[in-house]
Amino acid sequence: MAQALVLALGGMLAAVLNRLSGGAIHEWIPWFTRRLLEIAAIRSPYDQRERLAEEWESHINEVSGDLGKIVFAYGCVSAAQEIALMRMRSAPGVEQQDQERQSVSKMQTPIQSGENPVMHGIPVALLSEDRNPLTNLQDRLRATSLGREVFSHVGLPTSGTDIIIRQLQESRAEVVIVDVRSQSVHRALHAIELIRSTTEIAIFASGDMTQPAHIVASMRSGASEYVDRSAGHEALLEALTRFSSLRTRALRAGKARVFTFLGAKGGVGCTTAAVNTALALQISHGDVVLVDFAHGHTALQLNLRPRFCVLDALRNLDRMDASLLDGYISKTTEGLHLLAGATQPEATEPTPGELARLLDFLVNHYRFVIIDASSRMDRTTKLLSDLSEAVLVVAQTDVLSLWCADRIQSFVEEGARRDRIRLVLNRYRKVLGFGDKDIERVTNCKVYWKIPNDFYAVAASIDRGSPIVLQKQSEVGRSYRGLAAKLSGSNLGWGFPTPATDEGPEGAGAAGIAVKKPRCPNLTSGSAALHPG
Amino acid sequence: MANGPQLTTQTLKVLGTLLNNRPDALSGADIGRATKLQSGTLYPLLLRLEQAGWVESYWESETPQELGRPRRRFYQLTALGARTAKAGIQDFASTIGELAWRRR
Repeated sequence: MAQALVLALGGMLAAVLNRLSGGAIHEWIPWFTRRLLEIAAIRSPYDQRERLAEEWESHINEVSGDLGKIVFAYGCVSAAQEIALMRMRSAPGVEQQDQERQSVSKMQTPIQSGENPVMHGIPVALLSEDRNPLTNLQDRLRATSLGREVFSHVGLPTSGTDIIIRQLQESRAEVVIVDVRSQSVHRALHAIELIRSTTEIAIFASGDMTQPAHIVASMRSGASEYVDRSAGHEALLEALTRFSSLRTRALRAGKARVFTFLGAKGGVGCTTAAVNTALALQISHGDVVLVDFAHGHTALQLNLRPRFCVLDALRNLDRMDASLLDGYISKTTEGLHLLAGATQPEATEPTPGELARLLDFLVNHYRFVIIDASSRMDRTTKLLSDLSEAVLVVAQTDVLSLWCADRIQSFVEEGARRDRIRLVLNRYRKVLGFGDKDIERVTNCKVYWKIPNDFYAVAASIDRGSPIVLQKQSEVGRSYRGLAAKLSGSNLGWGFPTPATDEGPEGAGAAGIAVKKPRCPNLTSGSAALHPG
Repeated sequence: MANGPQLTTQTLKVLGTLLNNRPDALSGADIGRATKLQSGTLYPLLLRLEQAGWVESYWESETPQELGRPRRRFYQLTALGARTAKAGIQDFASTIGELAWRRR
């Protein structure tokens, strides 16, 4: 918006000067207005982008005067902003949300199935030559709770350069459902062939099961599934589930890694650890999102003022796409993305399906997903832990903290067969006669990392809203960079090195992070997991 | 009505303009000229009316290549929109008198 305002003001100034000078500035005006219209188009919801851009381009030709054109173009930027906000505000009503929650809760979640989180919320595009079948397809898709509509259009593409093909590609749909109607079967088959030859989107045909010729022709044209039009949403759900399992296998290698930070008890520095580790990963690797499921303190530590929070994203999962997610995200100057925490208590907890869908969306858009759950001990924490590759329990070396860490270990691992909890000892101080083995015995968790104690420096950095990891000379900052390197470098099982390789992160060098040996003398002995040299 | 857009002055201006020109459809530029609404107000409003089913829109039938310029998008009232517009304008008129911009 600021960029557009600057451009608009510049344009107006240029227009005034143009009036005065009547010179070369005249040539700048089209550039200004074009640039403003481009900004407006970018800020529009993706499914309206093409339409609005063409419409505004057409309208501006009918506006008289350079100043008028600039005012119009600036108005379009505001319009785009307003339209995007309209989209965000138009969340489903409470009743509908409840219905959706109930239907989602009937799905077999990763936790119930005891497997790794699988794909939820497949982006689906819908094409039909008639509005009624399209509405019917939309209803069926919504009822599956597995697919989410990202694009729908009345009409079928007729050529490879058809705007529908371009819109399909821009929608990032993974599945397109083409309505095959008896009266226009040839056009539908031609459309399927076009989509197959110009995109990599999986094609489902939806039609009448009493027409075997249509089924065969659709499959030959390139459809991977033929869904019975009259079979309700179950047939579509089955087809999407088959697609999901195939896609999950294909994507498994390229998915983001999810790490959840849990505090053993309040005040141990869990949020600080999550924020600094996320920022260190962002600086070294990029593409990191920090998700605050705690109290919204991450935004304070990063000196951000988010307008939306994670609950907004959860409420709008059914319409989530990259541009909508971008609206909910706050960004630091280092490029770290924050999905901020709610500052007001929420009456309802997210369902397993909602959390799985959000996480699934995030892992497909980022390289690392860092979750701050702090000392929250509820069903959501358990779900987040189940959906995470690793859970890092932040504790101190006092008796109370370690006792709580043991309780958390029991809570999180209950019913799970995975060994994915590790201890991060914050404000570490060595206690004589109480070594790592004792800590591990007491907590049933392996010690993964130790962060030295520099309370005053960390407290000051929090007050300033500038995480300590940004201070190159700080011992604590260096430690966080080391933790990030170890997390990113480990590739054994759930991301944790075996004890034999626990001495140092193999990926640290590859990540380009200079991890020096700590100067703090009490940290240099007694720990295999201590800062690698 | 209960779930539709609010009948603000701007909404009534747009609905009234479309009503006066019914059954002809108007482009965004035509509506902008008639209502004197800025683009920042006009386009979100048109989209809102379209989402509510009060207005429908379509592109010019010719291609941009044939026209030699970007296509216009035309807006016209649906039956629901026309009913709503008439009722809204009547309510408004009965309260504060006839609208100045309404064709007599």
